[in-house]
Amino acid sequence: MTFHPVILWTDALIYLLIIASIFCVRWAKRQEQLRSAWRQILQSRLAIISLVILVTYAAIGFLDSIHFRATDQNQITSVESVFDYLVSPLGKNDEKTYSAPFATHLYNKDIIILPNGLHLRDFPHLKFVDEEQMNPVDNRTLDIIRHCTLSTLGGIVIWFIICALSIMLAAQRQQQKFLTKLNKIVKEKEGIVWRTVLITVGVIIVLGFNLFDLSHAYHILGTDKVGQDVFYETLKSIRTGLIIGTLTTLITVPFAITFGMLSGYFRGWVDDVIQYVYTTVNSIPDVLLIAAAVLALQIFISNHPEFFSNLVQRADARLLALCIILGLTSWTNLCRLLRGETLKLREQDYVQAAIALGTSRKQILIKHIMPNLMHLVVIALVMDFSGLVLAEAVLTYVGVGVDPTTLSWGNMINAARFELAREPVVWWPLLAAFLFMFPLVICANLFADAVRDALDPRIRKL
Amino acid sequence: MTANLLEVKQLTIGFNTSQGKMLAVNNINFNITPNEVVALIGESGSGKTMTALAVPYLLPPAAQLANTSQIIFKGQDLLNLSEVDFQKIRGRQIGLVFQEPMTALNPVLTIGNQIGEVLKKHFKLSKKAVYARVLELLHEVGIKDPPYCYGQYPHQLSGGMRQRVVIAIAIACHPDLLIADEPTSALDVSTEAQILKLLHDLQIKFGMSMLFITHDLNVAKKISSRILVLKDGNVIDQGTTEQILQQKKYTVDFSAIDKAPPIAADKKILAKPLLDIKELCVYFPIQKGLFKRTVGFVKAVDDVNLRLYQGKTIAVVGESGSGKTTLAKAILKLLPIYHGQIFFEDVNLPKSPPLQLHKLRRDIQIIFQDPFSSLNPRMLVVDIIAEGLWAQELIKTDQEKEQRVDELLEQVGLSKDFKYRYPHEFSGGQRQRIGIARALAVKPQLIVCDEPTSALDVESQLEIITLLQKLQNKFKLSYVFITHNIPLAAAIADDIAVMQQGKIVEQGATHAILKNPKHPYTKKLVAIEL
Repeated sequence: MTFHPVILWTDALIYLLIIASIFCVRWAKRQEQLRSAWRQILQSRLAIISLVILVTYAAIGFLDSIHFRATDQNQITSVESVFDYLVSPLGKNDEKTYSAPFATHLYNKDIIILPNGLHLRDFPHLKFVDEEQMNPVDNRTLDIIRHCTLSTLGGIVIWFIICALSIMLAAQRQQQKFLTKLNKIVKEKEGIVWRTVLITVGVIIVLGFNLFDLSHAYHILGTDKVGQDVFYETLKSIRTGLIIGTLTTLITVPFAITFGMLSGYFRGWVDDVIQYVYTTVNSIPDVLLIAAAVLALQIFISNHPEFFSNLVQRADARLLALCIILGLTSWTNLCRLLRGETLKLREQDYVQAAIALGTSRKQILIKHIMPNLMHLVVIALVMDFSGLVLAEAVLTYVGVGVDPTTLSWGNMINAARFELAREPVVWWPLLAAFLFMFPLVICANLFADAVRDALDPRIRKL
Repeated sequence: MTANLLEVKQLTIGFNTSQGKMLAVNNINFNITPNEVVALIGESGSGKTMTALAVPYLLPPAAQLANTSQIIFKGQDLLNLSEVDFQKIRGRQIGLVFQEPMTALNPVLTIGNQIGEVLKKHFKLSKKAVYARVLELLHEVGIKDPPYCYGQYPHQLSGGMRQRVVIAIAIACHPDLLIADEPTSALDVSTEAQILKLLHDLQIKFGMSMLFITHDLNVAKKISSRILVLKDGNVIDQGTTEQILQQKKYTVDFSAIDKAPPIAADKKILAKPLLDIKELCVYFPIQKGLFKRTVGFVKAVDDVNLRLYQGKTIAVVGESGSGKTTLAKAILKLLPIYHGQIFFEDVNLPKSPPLQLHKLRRDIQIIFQDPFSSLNPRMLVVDIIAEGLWAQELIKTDQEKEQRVDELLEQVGLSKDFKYRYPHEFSGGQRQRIGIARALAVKPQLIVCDEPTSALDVESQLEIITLLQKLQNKFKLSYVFITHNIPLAAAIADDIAVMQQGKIVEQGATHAILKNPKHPYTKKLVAIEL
C-alpha cells in the first residue's frame, strides 16, 4: 500500500485557520485585558467543560481533515482521512440496508439462499456482526457488558496515565513535588481549572473507549438505507459541521469589519452606500439567495467535470461554496453592530486627539478603532458558530445544502423525513444526528456566553 | 439631644471582583437627626453613592453587605425588613432624588402620570384628588404653569425643570428623609443655584431631614449643616460645615497659584497675535425629510472673535452647553466650520489645504476633560505618547522614540517605568499627565485645554494646573483654557472671555472682568462663584 497526501480546498482553509488561531492566541497572550478576560472564562466550571468538549470535537474534525490517497496492490485508489484510518474497519463494513442499533439481523426481510439451495424469506444475518454473537438475545447483552467493562477499565488506566504524566510535567515546570501538586489540584487550590479539565477528559476517554470498542463489534447506532454505519456517518458529520461553523465566520468577519468601520468612521456617502447594500442583502430572504446561488453552482459543477478529478473533490467544492454563500449573506448583522460601535468610538476623545496629532485615517482605523471592536467580533464569532451548524441542517433539509454524498447532519436529518414516514419506523439516524449535534451546539452556546460575559464591558462593570 | 431619625452603623459594602473582594464602603457610621441636613462629600469612587443607595436598599445586585451593618430608621433596622415592607418605606418615608433627571424619569409617561403614580401607590385617593395634588406639588417645586406641565413628556422640559419634577416625585408623600444623590451636578451653574435654593426651602417648609451627596464642597456648604468627608470608602473627616470649611483642605485654593511672571514685553510678539479668530461660526444643520433638506441650524458657536498672543492664556468661561467645547474643537479643526476665519500666525486654518493643515497640527494641540476617555485603553503608554511623533515624522527609529518618550514623561513628572503599562493602571491625575505628554510630544505653540481639571480630585487639580504653568514658562506655550470654574480662570488667565449660548458676551483682561463685570450674565456668574 502506498500513501499520497491529498489537500482539499477546505482542508487547506482549516490548516490556515489553525495557524491563524495560533498566532491570535500568541498575540492575545501579550494583551493584559484579554488575559484577564481569559482568566475570568476559566473561572466558570461550565465554560471549562464546554471548552474541553469543543476541543474534542475539533480534534475529531481536524483528524478528519488530513486526507491521503491510498493505493493498494490492485491499483484501487480511494481518498481517505487519518480519522478513517484510525477507526477502520468502521465505515467499510457496509450492510445491505437498514439495521437497528446493536442488531444482529437486518431490519428488512429478504430472500436468503440456504446451504441446501432452498430460498427462504426472513431477516438475514448482518455481515459485520460475528457468528458467535448471532445467538439468543441474553448472550448479546452479556457480550455488550463484557465489551463495556473491558473498555472502561482500559479507559481508566489510560486516563490515570495521562493524569500522572500531565501532573508530573506541571510539577516539574513549577519545581514542586508531585504530591503537593496533586494535592493542590484535587483540592482546587489553584482555581478550579485543572481538576475540572482532568475529570472531563476522563469521562470523554472512558466514553470514547466504550464507543470505539463496541463499534468494532456492532453497529452501535445501526445502519442506514444503503447499509452504512450510522455511528461512522455522524462522526464524519462533525467535520462538515465544524467547517460550516468556522469557515463561514472566517468569510463573514473581514467583510463585517471593513464595511462596518468604513461606514461608521467616514459616514456621508460611504455610509449611505454600505448601508444601502446591507439593507438590500438583509431584505432578501436568506434561503432564497442561498438556494439561487447553490443551484447556479450545481449547474456550473455539472457543466465542468474537468475541474474535479473525483467525487470527493466535487463534494468538497460544494461545501466550500456553501460556506462562502452563507458568509456573504450573514455579514450584515455584525456589520451593523460594528458600524454603531464605530460611530460611538469616533467621537471618543482619544480618536479626536489622534486627528489633532495628524495621524492618518488608515492608522486611526487600525490602531484606535479596530482593537476596540475586537471584543464584539469575538462575541459574534462564537455566538454565530452554533447558529451556522444548525443552518447547515436546515438548508440541507430544504435541499440547498451540502452535496448529497457529503456526510452531514443535515443530510441525515433530510433522510429522516422518509425514514420516519415508513413502517416500521427507522428512528436511529435522526437520533444519532441529534446525539452528536446537541452537545456541540450547547457547548458552543455555553462557551459563547462565558466569552461574552468576560469581554462585554457593559456586563463586566458589575 | 433629639432622637436620631437615621442611624447608620458599621456600614460595610463589598464587591466580588475577579481580583478578589473589594470594599466600596468600609465601616461607616453616622446619624441624622430630624430636620438636619447632612452632606456626604468625596471624589468619585469614594463610596458616597453606595452609602446613599444602601439606606433605601437600592444597591446593585453584586454588592454585598456585611452582617454587622445596621441601618436604623425611626428605631427599625431597615436591613431586616422584607422587600414588601420596604416598599412601604421607600418613597413614602424616604424620598430619592437622582443625579441625572433624564434617566430618572420614564420617557414615555407624562409628568402628571409619573407624579400621580407615587400618590396612587401610597394613598387611596380619587382621580380628581390625585390631579389636584399633582398640580399642588408642581406648584410647590416652582414650575410656572402646572396644568400645562402635567401633560408634558420629560424630553419637552429643560434639565432644571426635569430635576424639579424629580423632586416633586420625591416629596409627594412628605417623606421624613430625602436622599439627594448629586442632584445638581448635571445642571449648569445658575440652575444649580435655583435647585439648591428649592431643596433648602422645601426642607425648611416640610421639616425634612436630608442626606445630600455631592463631590463639590461649594455646593455642600450652601445647604448642609454637617459634612462627612469620604475617601476610598472611609470617613476621613466629619464635623459641622464651618469646621470643615475652616480647614480649607477639601477645596482647591487657586489663589495660591503663583501667577506666571509676565513674559518680557517683546514688541514683535505683542504686535502680532498667535491665534486670531474672526467671526467664527460653527453651525450644525438640522436636516429633515427624505432628501435631508437643511431646515435650520443649531448655532453652537456664533460670531466669535478672539485674540491670543504668544505665551499668554485666555480663559473661555461659561456654563455647560454654552459652546465652549465646540469652540475648542473648532480651533483644532476637528469640526466643520460654517463661517469665519481662524488665523494661526498667518495661516487661515479653515481654508488651508490638507498638507499644510497636517503640518499645522504640530503647533496646535488639545488636552481633554475626561482622562479616561482620552487615552485608548488598548494602547501602551509609550505608543500613546509616541503617536504624534510618528504621525508628524519627527522620529525615525524606535531608539529615538524611547529617548523622546522618556524625556516627555520626565517633563510631565512621571516615571520612565510607566512606559510599558496600559492606561487603566493609572489614576486620573496620572492619566491627565500622559495626555499632556502626548500633546507636548509634537512641540506645539498653542494648547487648547478643555476643562483639564474638572474630572480630577482636589489634589490632582492643583498639581495639573501647576504643571501646566511650569510648561508654559518653559516652552512659551499659549493656552486657550476652557473652564466653568471662575476662580480657576481668575488664577491662571491673562484674559477672560465669557460665553453664553454660543456667543461671547464679554471679554477683556481678567482683573477688569472680575472686578467690574458689565454684562448681566457675567455679573450673575461672578456673583455665584466668588
